[in-house]
Amino acid sequence: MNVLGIDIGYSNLKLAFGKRGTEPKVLLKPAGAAPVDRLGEKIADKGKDDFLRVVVNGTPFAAGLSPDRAELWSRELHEDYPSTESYRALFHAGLLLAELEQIDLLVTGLPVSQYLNQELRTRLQTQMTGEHQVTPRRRITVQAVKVVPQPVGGFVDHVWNLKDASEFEDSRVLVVDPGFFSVDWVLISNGELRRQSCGTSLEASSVILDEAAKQLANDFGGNVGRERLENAIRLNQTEVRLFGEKIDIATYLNAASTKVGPIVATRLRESLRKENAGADIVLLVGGGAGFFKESVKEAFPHLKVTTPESPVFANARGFWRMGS
Amino acid sequence: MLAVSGGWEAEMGYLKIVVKIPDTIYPELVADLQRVQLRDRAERVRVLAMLGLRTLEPMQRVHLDNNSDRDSSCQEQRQEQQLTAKRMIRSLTESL
Repeated sequence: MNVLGIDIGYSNLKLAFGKRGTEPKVLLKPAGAAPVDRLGEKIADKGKDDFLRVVVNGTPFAAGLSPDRAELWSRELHEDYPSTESYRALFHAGLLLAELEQIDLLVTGLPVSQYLNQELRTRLQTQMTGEHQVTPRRRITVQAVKVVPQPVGGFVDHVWNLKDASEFEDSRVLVVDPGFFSVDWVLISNGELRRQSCGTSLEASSVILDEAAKQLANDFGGNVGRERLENAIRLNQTEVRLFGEKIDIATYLNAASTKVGPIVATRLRESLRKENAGADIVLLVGGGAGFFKESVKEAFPHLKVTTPESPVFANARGFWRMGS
Repeated sequence: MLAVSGGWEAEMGYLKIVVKIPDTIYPELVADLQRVQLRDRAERVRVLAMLGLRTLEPMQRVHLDNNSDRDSSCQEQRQEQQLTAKRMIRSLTESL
């Protein structure tokens, strides 16, 4: 049985794929997608593409490229992202990268606020099920689709890797998933989702990058832009160049995290007020985990705050595990 | 001084060992060797050593068996832990 866990984020496309009973392969691509004719000529004409060419409703798309590489094609940063052509292009790229002719079960996630909307959940499920023309000569069939709240993937991945999962079995675990567009959280109590204590905040990584770019502009007189900071982080670079000068971005990212992080931490605390008892453990997953760790620790000083290894893959790995 | 302090040297295909056996530490062994002619003592030591090895072998087997028991116990423990994780994951998946 072929299983694909796919996490189509605003910044990265993450995949975990493979047969049930084996260990999954994982893959990450930047989540930029645009019609091929919107790419700069030099890039489009390069012999060696570092992105995938797919089709969406007959239109050729480039997918898996840095989000700032397309011209006259704006990045989709809104709640209706799953219904956009960019999202579909990334989905097709994911199907292609999974190297499977047929996918028996695909598991994906939605931000918590969207997951709680039955209509949006069903729409995504319908959109992803069936036969997909991913390139002019390639069709891939998805037999069944399961949609889950995004942070649940991170929880499942962590539980699977624990030496003793029984610690989590009777605990109340607050799973916080800071992504590029939103920070999502769920409370899992005794292995069940507590819907009333789940939530989403838009004070996410993109806001931190905007704030860092603003502070950099104040000090150095030019706007490096959110996407350049995003690319630098993706490539593990600590500096960006502005007006010929190399600038260390860590200080600015930390300052921005210190400003934005507490806003989310306050929302988290408010969200848990509906519960009779607080959380026992906080689990931080997702690509933006590093930005929010200190604020979350300060918000819950008496709780153990855990981050899995390679948190950016946690959701996709967990999705795969749920399907297998 | 090999003959006095004890020692060994390797030659083509065999080991040459000169060994000192104090009667304060090995009285039984010294008594046994004294009953044998001087020229046969080396052979007697070899026989006794082989017998000693045979005694040790089952103990080594037990030691190996213990290790393999420990490995399978670790594996069982991991399987049990995975069962807990699987149960949690299944329950959560079904509740969504």
